[in-house]
Amino acid sequence: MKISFAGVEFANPVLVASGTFNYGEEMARFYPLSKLGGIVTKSITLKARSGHPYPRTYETKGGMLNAIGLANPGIEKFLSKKMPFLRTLGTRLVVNIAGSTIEEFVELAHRLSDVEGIDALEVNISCPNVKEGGLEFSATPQPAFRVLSAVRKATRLPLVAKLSPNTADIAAIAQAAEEAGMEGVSLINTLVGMAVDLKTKKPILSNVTGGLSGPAIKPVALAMVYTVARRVRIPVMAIGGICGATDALEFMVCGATLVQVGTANFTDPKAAPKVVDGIESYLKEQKISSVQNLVGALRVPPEKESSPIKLPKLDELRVQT
Amino acid sequence: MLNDYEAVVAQAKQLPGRMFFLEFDAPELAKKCGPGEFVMVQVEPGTDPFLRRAFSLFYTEPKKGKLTILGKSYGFGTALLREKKAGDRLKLVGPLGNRFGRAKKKETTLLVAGGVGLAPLYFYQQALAKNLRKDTHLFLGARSKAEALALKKLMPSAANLQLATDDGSYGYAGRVTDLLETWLEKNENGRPVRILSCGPDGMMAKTAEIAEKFGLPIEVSLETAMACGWGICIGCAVKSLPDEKMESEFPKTSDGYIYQRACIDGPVFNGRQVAWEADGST
Repeated sequence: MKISFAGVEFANPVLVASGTFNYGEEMARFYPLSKLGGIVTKSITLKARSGHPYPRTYETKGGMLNAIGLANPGIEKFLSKKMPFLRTLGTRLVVNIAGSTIEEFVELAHRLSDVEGIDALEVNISCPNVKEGGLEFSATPQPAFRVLSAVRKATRLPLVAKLSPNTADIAAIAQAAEEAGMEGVSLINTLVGMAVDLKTKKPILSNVTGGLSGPAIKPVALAMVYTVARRVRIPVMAIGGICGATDALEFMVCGATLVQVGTANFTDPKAAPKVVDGIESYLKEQKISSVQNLVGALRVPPEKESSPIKLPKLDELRVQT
Repeated sequence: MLNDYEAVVAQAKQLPGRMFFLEFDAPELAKKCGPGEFVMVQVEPGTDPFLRRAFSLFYTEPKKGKLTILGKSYGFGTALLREKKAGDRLKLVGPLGNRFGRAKKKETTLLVAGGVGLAPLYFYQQALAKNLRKDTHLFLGARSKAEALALKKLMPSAANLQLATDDGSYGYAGRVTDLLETWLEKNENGRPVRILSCGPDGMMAKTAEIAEKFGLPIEVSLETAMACGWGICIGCAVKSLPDEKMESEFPKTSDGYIYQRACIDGPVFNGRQVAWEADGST
């Protein structure tokens, strides 16, 4: 089950997605978090944020909308109040950072660089619920390249750019991320969506729009992971409606090296460890010696592919200094 | 440790006013629950409805392994729950949230309930030793005689119960908060009093106003839309005045309030700090 990503070894390919696990304390009440391959924290911003007014969530068919607004305690409280607990968990720690300007992203990356216990940073250039610093950094390649290059210079920590599906060509954004020096990309973040109350003729969410997540977005995420994995050499972390081991395995076969379980944590508190167990059972049943063998194993008829899926080679994953 | 328990419906009752009562066999969970806490109920296995539904615990019988909830059909998920039958299996995560505080010695507790908001307040009363229940009063407001009597029937051992109906067809004709005010005005023995309340937001806002007027402590059990119910989605935001003694997870808003999570910091909150909107909602 061990698998390497961006030079970091993970005990298994299953992480939990940013915004769906807070900083671990609440979920530690359900199971030992060392069971997971890794945790991606809720986004940290420079200044603490209170988030959007209620209502912030709404159920949809096969999923939900959220417009939380990046509510978080800010980097200082994160370091003093959340990191000590996160260090005790015995699993890989990826800290997700979100800024409204390039300078904020750079400052966050810089301040987290020498913190003991952090294995990688996930750069959130794709949150749809904040006025600045979200979608405009991930909708087109140039702004993505600019912000990610700046973050690259600010730290030697392994960097993963979290990409938005709210774009015309996500593979182009992924290429920009690769060119900017990212060791990997994670996709997809949520899809922009909305809900309306006909009785009041008002939007349901206080922020008007929100991000759609859950099983409803899995087909979109699968297509995007497949497309991106073919276009870049850096490894991909898949996010989008993963509820069970079968979902996770489908994404790996499409080219993802690691997977993140997100919204499923809200409906079954043990969703993520069940995915870990399910992958392990599958490998045993199929007599597959290493989970790495599944990455990119998708068989597409040659006439449907313009170029074969490029699997990440080990030496290409190491940081170029 | 928290768990996801498979519970079996032992009794299911459809009540007037789209209300419903469910009794579950859930021996491990029943022993762990206290008044004020809630459970996240998975309505159907699978994705429709996608999210669970939150219910305050009504009362438990730990020795018999039973726990109960009281609900009202508002939408898709609750409509399905109202159709459940004995023998149906449902998953419950709990116990979640915080409990009502304990009364001080010689303090009288007034319980002000609106409709299915009765649930956690009756649990509070039942969880007390029998000799302490006489120091509590339960005021219950319902829309009509049919609803009032249906709820009363579910509480054979309610202590000091007074009923109010909106349409005057049973008990006091008018608001349940009138019953509270009347009691407070008559409170001649001058014992210290505190209030616990649960029901529609407007009712709780009015109760908090009365508590403020009489200078009394008040706890309210709030309901919000919830995605997870266990602290990780940060959706169940409740706006309240900051408590300078406690460190808040999130910073103050521009107008000096804080947002707390109903599933972690609540659902029981200090009713005098909750930011009630002008229309009485939270």
